[in-house]
Amino acid sequence: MANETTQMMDGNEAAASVAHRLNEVCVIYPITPSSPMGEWADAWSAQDKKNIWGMVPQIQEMQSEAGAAGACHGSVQAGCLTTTFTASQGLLLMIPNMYKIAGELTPFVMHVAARSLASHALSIFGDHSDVMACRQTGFAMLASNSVQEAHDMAAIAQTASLRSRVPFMHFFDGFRTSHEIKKIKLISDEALKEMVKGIDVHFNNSNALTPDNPKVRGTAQNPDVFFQTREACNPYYDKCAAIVQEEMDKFAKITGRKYSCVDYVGPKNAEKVIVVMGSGAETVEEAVEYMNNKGEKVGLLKVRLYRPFPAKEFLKALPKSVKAVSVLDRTKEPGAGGEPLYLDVVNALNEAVVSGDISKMPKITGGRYGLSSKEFTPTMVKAVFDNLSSKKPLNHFTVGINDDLNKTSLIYDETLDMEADDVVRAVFYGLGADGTVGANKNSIKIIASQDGKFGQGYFVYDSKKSGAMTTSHLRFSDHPIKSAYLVNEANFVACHQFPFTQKLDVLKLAKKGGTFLLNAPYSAAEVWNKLPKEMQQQIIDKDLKFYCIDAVDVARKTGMGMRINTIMQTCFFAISNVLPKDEAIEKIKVAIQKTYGKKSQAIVEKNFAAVDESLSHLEEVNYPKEVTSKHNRLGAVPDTATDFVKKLTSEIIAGNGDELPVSAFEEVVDGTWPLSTTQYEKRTVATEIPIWDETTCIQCGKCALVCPHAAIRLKVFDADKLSEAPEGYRSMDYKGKEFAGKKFTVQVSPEDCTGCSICTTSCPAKNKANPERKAINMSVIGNHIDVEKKNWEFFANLPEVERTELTNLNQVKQAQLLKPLFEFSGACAGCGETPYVKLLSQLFGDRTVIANATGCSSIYGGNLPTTPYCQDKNGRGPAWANSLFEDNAEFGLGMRFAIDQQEYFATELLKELSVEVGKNLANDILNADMSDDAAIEAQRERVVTLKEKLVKIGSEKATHLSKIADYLVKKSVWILGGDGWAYDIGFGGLDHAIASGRNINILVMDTGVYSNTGGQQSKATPIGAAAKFAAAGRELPKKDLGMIAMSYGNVYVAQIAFGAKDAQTLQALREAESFDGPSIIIAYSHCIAHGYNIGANGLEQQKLAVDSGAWPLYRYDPRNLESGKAPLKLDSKAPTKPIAEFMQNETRFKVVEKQNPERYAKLLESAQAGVEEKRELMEHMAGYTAPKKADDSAAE
Amino acid sequence: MTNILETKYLGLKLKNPIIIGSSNLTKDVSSAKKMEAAGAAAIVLPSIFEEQIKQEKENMIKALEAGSNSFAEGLNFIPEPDELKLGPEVYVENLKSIKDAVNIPVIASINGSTSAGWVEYAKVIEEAGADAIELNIHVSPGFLTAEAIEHRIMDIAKKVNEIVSIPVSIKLSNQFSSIANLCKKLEQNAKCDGFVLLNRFYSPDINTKSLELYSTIDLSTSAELSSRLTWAGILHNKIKGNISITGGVHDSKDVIKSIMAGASSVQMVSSILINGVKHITKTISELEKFIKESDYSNLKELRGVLSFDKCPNPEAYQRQNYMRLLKTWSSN
Repeated sequence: MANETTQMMDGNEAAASVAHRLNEVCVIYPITPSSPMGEWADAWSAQDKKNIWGMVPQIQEMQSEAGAAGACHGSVQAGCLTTTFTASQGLLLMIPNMYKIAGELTPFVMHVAARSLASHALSIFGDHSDVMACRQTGFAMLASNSVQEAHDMAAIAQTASLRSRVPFMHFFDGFRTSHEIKKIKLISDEALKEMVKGIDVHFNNSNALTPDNPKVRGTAQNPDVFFQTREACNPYYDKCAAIVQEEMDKFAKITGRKYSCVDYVGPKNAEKVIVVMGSGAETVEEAVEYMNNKGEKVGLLKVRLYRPFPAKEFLKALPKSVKAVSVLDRTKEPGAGGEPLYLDVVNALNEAVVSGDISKMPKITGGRYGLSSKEFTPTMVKAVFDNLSSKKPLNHFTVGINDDLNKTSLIYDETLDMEADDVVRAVFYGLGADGTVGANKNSIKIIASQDGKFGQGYFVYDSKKSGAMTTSHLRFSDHPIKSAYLVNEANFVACHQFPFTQKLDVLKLAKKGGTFLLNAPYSAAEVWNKLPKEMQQQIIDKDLKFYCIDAVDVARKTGMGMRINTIMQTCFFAISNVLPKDEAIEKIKVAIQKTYGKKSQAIVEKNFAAVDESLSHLEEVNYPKEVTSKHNRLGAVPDTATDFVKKLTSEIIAGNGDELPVSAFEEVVDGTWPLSTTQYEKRTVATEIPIWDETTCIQCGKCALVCPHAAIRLKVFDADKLSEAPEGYRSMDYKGKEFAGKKFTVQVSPEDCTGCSICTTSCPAKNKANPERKAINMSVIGNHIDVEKKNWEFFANLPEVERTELTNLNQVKQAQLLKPLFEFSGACAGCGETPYVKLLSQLFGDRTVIANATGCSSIYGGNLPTTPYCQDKNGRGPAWANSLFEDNAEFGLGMRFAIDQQEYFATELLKELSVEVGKNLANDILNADMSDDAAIEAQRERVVTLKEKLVKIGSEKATHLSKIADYLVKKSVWILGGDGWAYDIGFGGLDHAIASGRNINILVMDTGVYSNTGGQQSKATPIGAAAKFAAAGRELPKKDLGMIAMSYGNVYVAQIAFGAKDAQTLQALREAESFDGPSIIIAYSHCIAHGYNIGANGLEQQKLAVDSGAWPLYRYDPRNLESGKAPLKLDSKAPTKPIAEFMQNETRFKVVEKQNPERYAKLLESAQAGVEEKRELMEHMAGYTAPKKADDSAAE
Repeated sequence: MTNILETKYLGLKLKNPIIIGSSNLTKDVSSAKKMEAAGAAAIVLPSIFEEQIKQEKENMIKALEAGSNSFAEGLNFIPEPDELKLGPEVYVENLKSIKDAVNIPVIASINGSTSAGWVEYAKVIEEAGADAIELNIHVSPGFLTAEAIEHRIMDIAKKVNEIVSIPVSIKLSNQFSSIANLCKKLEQNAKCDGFVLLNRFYSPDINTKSLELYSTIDLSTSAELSSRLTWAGILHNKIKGNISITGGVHDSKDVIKSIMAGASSVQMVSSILINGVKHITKTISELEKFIKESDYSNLKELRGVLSFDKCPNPEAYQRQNYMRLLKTWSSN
């Protein structure tokens, strides 16, 4: 207990720190929010950090959680202490092996950052749906309620498992605990050694499968013996809780921190108690303390060991005085008699009554709280206790939401603040790009690293990947902080981005008399009248101390660019008084030196300058005591928005989603949301936007093709429309015979552009007088936004081109005249995936069903509040759904089955009704060619006629046919996802789907990493690249998915890169769609995980990838075999540049070089040899044509 | 047996006057060993680029921070190792390996434009065991005065010489009004030990179709030797430091001319890139043959025989030469 080391860390690091030191093998796979545990383990082993037995644990990434569970099973069976980390659906994939590991009574611990399961929607946030779905597996389940406990229980679970032979799932709340930063007391290696002292840590080894002492395990058993053997395990479970308690007691002796399987907090004479697991217990404890101080008699039972359920310990912990119990579950089981913890408690008490241990049942209610990290606060706890006091308490209640539909929700007093007054609470609003979160993490470390100080940091991110808003919730105190909920009464509010003041209620959380710091491009004298009326009123009403600074100006002057973090951090310390100002400034500088000192003294100096300059630019605003502003806060959506958007979406955009009642979701209860809603979420995140110069434009359409957000578009229109155009609207004569005489415009939507600049890098035209300028040039948004908003509005209302008017869709320009049916997504600025999705939507969106694997494309494709897929003027557009990560190919294939079945039945019905509908029409429909847009349109018209006739016929069959007649028009099935899905977790399904022979189209957007979960290695990661789980750089070459697909012979396969050869991209997509069989397109997608400015250089890197041979372009079309041609066509030349030229531009390769140049040189050599060999092989394959079929007559 | 080709450069004893200039020919142990085996007397390593290192550091920090703490599922993207060799570490390690692998002198080269970084790099290079340092100072002139440019070069050279005790040479380009004067000042005020004449630059060209500039560097030709000979000839015996001629030394004849003008060594790159490593051996052998067949008993006797001081027609080093040639040309 002496010399305790404390450190600031989050729950993931806290758990992983123990797991890494107590295991020999860590088998990992990324899934939010548990991925950082695997990342820590990988990083520590890469640094040769040893476990307590002096060996570096082996880390192995698998292809899925199912694979990880299998590998864990194998590893423990073959003798090693093994662990894994997971969450949510990943945990579900482990269930089959969990039964096996438990059934074989194998010591093993897994660590779970508990997360919601996908149901009507995916959610990455925390609740117990996943862990509760495993309660039947035979695993023991041990819950941690805080970051400290995540550290401590990791150790207790390990030794308890070793002693009991029961495998353990140690879990804690995803995000709330996994990502909350707190000061914890570290368990030293010595303490861990003390914990395992006397335990047979080599049990797995002595029980291992080895030919030196052979055994057979996992036999098949029959009705005669299976049942009995199953029951034979009971003694192990019966002893488990006692063993856990012994280990907890031992832990207390070693560390001083005491735990019980069920811990009671509260007075001995409590009359009401709440039973809860996880971080919610911390909040309940805070409320219990507050309420008891007010004279109530309430208590809390923290269930730590949930399986085997410690009924005896539970009864022992429950005060005899208790009259009423409320059990809180952080999960939902629709249709169940109650949620699981509730049922376990009811059962325990009932059994106690039956056995006579207690005389009668207390009053028991159960309720749900905190699903998907929904806030759970002390005032909600009070509502739960109050409910128990009522004569007819609500059972199966919900708390934290307004369930006006089912009337299940408890009402709570939102104004009640139960937090201790001496806790400093601060909220910071920033952008991901401005470094706010990083600075706040740093501030917590600075403050809480002092003796006697405690800190807590929790960070909320919005759902966008570009221009994302971050909200940092920080607490500081002289006492340990329990509050496992967001700050709701802040002494200090900082807004690091001035535009937020115009749209959001950033002072909602400000406490009366608190301090407000604003980064604004105005002086203290000017800023007041730049604020909306509502905000001025709040400042006056709350009597806030108001400070401002032009941090952007200070950042620019001190060479900090966009990073205002150091400046705002300095201001926070200067005015918040959490530390003496000079001491705080000194500590900031020490932290800067520590962060950047090793890397660049120049950066250190710039940061130092920023700190010094901040203080001299910080001003207090002396505001009048009356509202003087002339403008109101902006509405979240424009008046043109649909009613649905106004009612629901706009509230979510405005940050009021928590206040929406259950009834608001009746319309979308099954997870079905309307399309075309991103158009109403005008985010205006760009600082610069592209401005078109019609005098230079050559009308190639490349700018529109590469735009990741469909914020630049082309249109052709009749010249007479210009009479209604706003002043400053630009157009030119269309160049080309297909629309001769018409006008042409390239237009940016200024509020939807993210300012990535990739469009300007695609522009091949140069201004002859000033070649520095192109036909599209970035310019500061403030100089153009008013004009361009009007221009966009006019442009958007111009009619779209008819698909049938386009003569050559292999031409980029013509394809870009099609309306994108995927627009303004939340993808990263400069994203390398979305241009493919957008192009697909333009070419086939009106007839496409999309199955989307979980990942970046499902997040930017369908993360609320708004939806980027949209409809054409006929109301058609992509129908989109996300099933899971691992099953997307099967999901899409299933869609094909259903579409084909309906087409088949429609065909059969039409044949049967052909006389009644008219033979000519029936024949025309049944024999229609639908190989191009014009033919498809003609078929649609025929189906309209058919439906009209069917109405008149009116028979049962006719009615049935009219319902499915649209299936007589061609439907495309597109299966979208990233490389993590296609190469790894979903490969088995993908392989089966392409082997099915069915008409499906697979688009793999290959970034070479798990981009969405933060850049973990996949089998698509190229050799020499660093990625999470391959921190030292990948040693093996990328898997060749295209080659595998080509081996089937009857699959259309293409590898494309729009930045290198856009025409080939277009051609491949169109050929794939036209191929009546399976097709797969592997699309090079630059990504921020590659470590360079993808907006400015993404296209150039794509060219280099192709020119160096890293990414050969090709198309394999099985149709060519029939015509005697080579099926494989190479669309890129033999490498003209060394692969080093491609690799040197990306930080993912650079960090490997800068870690170990010699090793990197070898990897580079292998990479170069690899591309040369691949080229040789592909050239050989490209020369292959099918042998001529023997002449039939000759054969005779 | 006396080595008739022996010479001295920057106080280092060289077995012959042929140094392999700063290029890919000297980039690593394997290349360096090939040069030594072919007979090279010393090698100059590729330059460590001060600006490039500075830029790389800043870019690396930016790239590692980009996109961090912005999205709940991925709080960063590229794993950042504890130790990154972002400074001169890689250069220094390579230098050490080469030093261990060869017996000939190894000269390190630093390229940069500001005084920041020079001192740091020079010191670690000395500690790594370099036999000498070649400073390749490039000041982008813009609208700076000639005096300001010379002042900056002087300042850098002085700082480096103050911090290291190994010999330091300066590689100069021909873009100075008076190279001789500058060399003299650098020797007197900055204590430079030698001069490498003359540097060649990447030069811009224009693509008339794409309306873009592009940079090229062509291999040198013997025709470029003349200007080097002029300055070597003028400086011989006027400064204490050694002169090494670079740019245009392609064969034994060029080497002989350079030594006769007053250089103590030459630096060859282009001719080896064209003819291969064997060209070094051939040149040395031809040089040896020339001396043996001439009236000179060794290379030292050859040095400076046709310098400004000693040559029978010194006006050729002066403007008269220009006037005469011009006249000849115009009469054609």
